[in-house]
Amino acid sequence: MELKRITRYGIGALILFLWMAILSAEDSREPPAAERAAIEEIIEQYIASQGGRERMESLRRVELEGRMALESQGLVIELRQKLESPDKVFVTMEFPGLGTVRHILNGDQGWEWHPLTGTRSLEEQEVKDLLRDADLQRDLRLFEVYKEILLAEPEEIEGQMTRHLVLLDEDGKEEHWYFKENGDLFQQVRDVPVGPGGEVKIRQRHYDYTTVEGFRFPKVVRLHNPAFEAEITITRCRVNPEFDPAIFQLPTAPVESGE
Amino acid sequence: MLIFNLKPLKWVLLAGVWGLAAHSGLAFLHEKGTFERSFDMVWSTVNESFWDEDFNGVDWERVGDRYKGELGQVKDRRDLVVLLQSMLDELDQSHFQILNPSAKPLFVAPGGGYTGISLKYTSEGAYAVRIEPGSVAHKEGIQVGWKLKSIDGKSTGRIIQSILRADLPEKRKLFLIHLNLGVRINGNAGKRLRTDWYPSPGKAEKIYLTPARDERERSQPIGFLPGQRLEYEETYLRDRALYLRFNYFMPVLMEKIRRAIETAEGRAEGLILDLRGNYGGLTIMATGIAGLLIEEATPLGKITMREGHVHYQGYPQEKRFTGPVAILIDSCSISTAEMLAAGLQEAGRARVFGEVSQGDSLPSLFKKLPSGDVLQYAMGDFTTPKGKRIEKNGVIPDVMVDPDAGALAAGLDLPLQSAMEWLGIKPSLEDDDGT
Repeated sequence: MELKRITRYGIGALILFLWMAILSAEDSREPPAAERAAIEEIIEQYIASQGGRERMESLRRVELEGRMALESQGLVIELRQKLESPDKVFVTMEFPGLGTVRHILNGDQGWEWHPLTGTRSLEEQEVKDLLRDADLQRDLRLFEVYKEILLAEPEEIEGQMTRHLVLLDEDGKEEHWYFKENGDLFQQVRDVPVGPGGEVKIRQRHYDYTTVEGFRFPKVVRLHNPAFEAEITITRCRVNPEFDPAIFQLPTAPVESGE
Repeated sequence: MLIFNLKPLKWVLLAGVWGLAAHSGLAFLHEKGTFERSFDMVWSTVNESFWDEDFNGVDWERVGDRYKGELGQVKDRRDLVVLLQSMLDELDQSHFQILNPSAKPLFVAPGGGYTGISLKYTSEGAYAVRIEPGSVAHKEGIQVGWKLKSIDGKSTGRIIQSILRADLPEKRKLFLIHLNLGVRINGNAGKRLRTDWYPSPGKAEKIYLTPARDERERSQPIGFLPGQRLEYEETYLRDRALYLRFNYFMPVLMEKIRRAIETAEGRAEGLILDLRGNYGGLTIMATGIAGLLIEEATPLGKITMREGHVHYQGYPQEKRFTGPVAILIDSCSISTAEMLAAGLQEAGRARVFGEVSQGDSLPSLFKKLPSGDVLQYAMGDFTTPKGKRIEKNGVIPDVMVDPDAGALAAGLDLPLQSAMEWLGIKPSLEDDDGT
């Protein structure tokens, strides 16, 4: 797979430009400007498919409810998530036979409350991951968020041709995003931080797009990794609802389900 | 994009369950297509999820081809289970097995009986090591230290020998002996059971028991993991050491354990965690218990998957026990029990007493097959923070105390005594020099 590079940073850009020149010499069919334009077009189409730049800029808070089914495991986990841009998250996960796990992010601090392990502060990587969720305008700033965005060859997934971007973060980690012709994000492959220093490669596919108050999002997300498969179904979505600020505070005792 | 964050993944991954044995009870006929689909699911699940792409040197493609060739001879569900299990056994790793979802939980007699007797096997025979107060056995006068001669006319020696002759690893045989005797001694609820004992050398006793219905607390099923009969014991030894014993790491026990450990601070001089005969359970619970015993975040181990890894870490809780901790293990300490013992031992937080543990310590998940059976499969390899593999090797105690028939016959619990002595507590009143 041949990658065409785009970067936004000084020296790195220069070095990369030299490297790109070599690449270009090998394949002069698509000059860098065209690649950049192609990437921008994909991202702009993606933003438009979600409801458009202006609408996304107005997004401040989101509440999602749903369930995560691990059919092969016989498990259904109830999920509830409240996000307040740029840095507040309240998540509950009800596990049958185990209880409710809660994650809270408030600024640069995150906590977890778990019926089996008690309360703890989240690790740096976990906080970073939650901040990603809390940043509701993140998709509007992809060129800032990622160190590089690369255009890769189109790929066929489930019988559909998709346009493929490779996004590199500051640590050089790759994410692969695959877009449908209409701009919908169909598949993402990335490493997800799991607990202290843990990391698991996850492939997620998005289905059954729906629109709520002008925002389009997938109602169904299928997750796959080598250990298991799961399907998340969003059953309720509220846009810009009011949240009680207290939910983002560290619980001193088990909080009732949901709040 | 408006989608859920992926945090639930962590809990799915950390909810690996260990140490559950397969059961029989298969009597259904299924169409051939079901068998093939089940076969394919088992093979491909392992193919996709086994942590080592080289399958620890096993040619998994070839194994699949060979067993698929035998699929045509499968006549019923029982045959299928035997075939699938044989294929999984080629991996020579724990936690790859085919389970029957309607099977009884571990150590529950098929007839649902319960007599209240716990047995411990040594090369000299099997001895009663615990008689539950108020149980049928207690009422009939069976006592700790008695050697079991036979159950319903079947010689204990013969049962043991038949297992010892099997082509299995030694530690696996020990586990199966305990499992087999444990099931037999509980009998069928309401059905009279003859037991023959040697209360002391040269003296024989025949005792008829009518097993009660097993009404011990049962854990809630978690997915395809059936509920398990739970045992929990919490007491103060000589009023100085908190003694905790439980047989599974199941969420329903966590509150009791938490409360017991939290309230021990300032009251107990030491904690003895008896994980002998503990068959594992939710791994995350081990980190929860560790969090009640540590002063700082403490790694307990690492799970390595095909793509990615997860660390097990205990986080110190506000209320915790700071005194010395002794952990008791034996050949029937499995999985999560081994992980907790190894993790706290390696961190220098606990001293481990007893026998080498079973060495079955892979994190696993369950998957329902089209045949109706359930595949349990290890989804990663487990190593201690220092990189030791517990699978196959077991946890090596700091103080080895092998089973001793003489001590068992005298009703002595030598590993427990060793732990108490380490804590500076005399095991019995007689040891107090007249006090």
